[in-house]
Amino acid sequence: MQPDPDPIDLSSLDPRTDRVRWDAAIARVTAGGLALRQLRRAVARRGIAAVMLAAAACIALWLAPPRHEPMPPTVSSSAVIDWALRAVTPADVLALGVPDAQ
Amino acid sequence: LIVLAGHEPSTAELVIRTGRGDALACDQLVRRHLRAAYAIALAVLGRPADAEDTAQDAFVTALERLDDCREPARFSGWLRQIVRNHALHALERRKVREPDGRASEIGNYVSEGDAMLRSRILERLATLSMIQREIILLHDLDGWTHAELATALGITEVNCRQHLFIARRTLRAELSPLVLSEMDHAARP
Repeated sequence: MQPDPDPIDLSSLDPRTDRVRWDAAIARVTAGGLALRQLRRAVARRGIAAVMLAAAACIALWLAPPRHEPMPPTVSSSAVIDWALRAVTPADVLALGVPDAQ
Repeated sequence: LIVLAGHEPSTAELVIRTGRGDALACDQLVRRHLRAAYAIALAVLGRPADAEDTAQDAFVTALERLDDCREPARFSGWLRQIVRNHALHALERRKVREPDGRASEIGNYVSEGDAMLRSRILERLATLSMIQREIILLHDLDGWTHAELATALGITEVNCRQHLFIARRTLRAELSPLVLSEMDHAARP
């Protein structure tokens, strides 16, 4: 393709005219970009490691045999039925002599 | 080794090597595309110093997210989107910071004569549409072809040529003969 004839000279806007400044800008961008890439990769690596550790812990817990802890003492159903059948009335409770019961 | 053999690596090669952490390739990639990033940012922001800062920030972001560039051969277009988004955000922040929007900007690394010429050109560029500014800056400053511009901007080559023609005509018409003679004089070796 033929270059377009008669381009407008925009060299006064060209940042490359100041060579030192331009090279410094390139160095800054390169260093910053590479450093951030390394950081991103390190975070990703550690993230993957953390996820794998968590997954391993979950699997270990899931596969572990259930622990048989002694159950807390419970009231048997027959005791509850006995108590209910005794027909305790509020008067019986008051008769126990609790002060200020009323 | 590729460089030593005299072979100019393609942008796609540089992107892939940079992705693997090759600092030399990264330097070449930045060297090849930073001015285009600046031109895109300048088309949005209209101020060279702001455009330089934004282009550099956007390029660092692009390098950080290089793994997201799924088609290394189309790095230019991908970078353009990132720079453009950064520049638009910078423009929004500037509108909040400077509601009148009339802060003057003359570069701090040009001579007095260049600074005057530069400010005149910037004033005239501001009268163009954003796409015209982007096309004329990328074409006449960074040497993009119409095919590259059309691909990056998602327009036809004919459309691109029309925009460039109008942009040049507007600039030429509005720049005074004095400025044009200065530009011609500066262009001479």
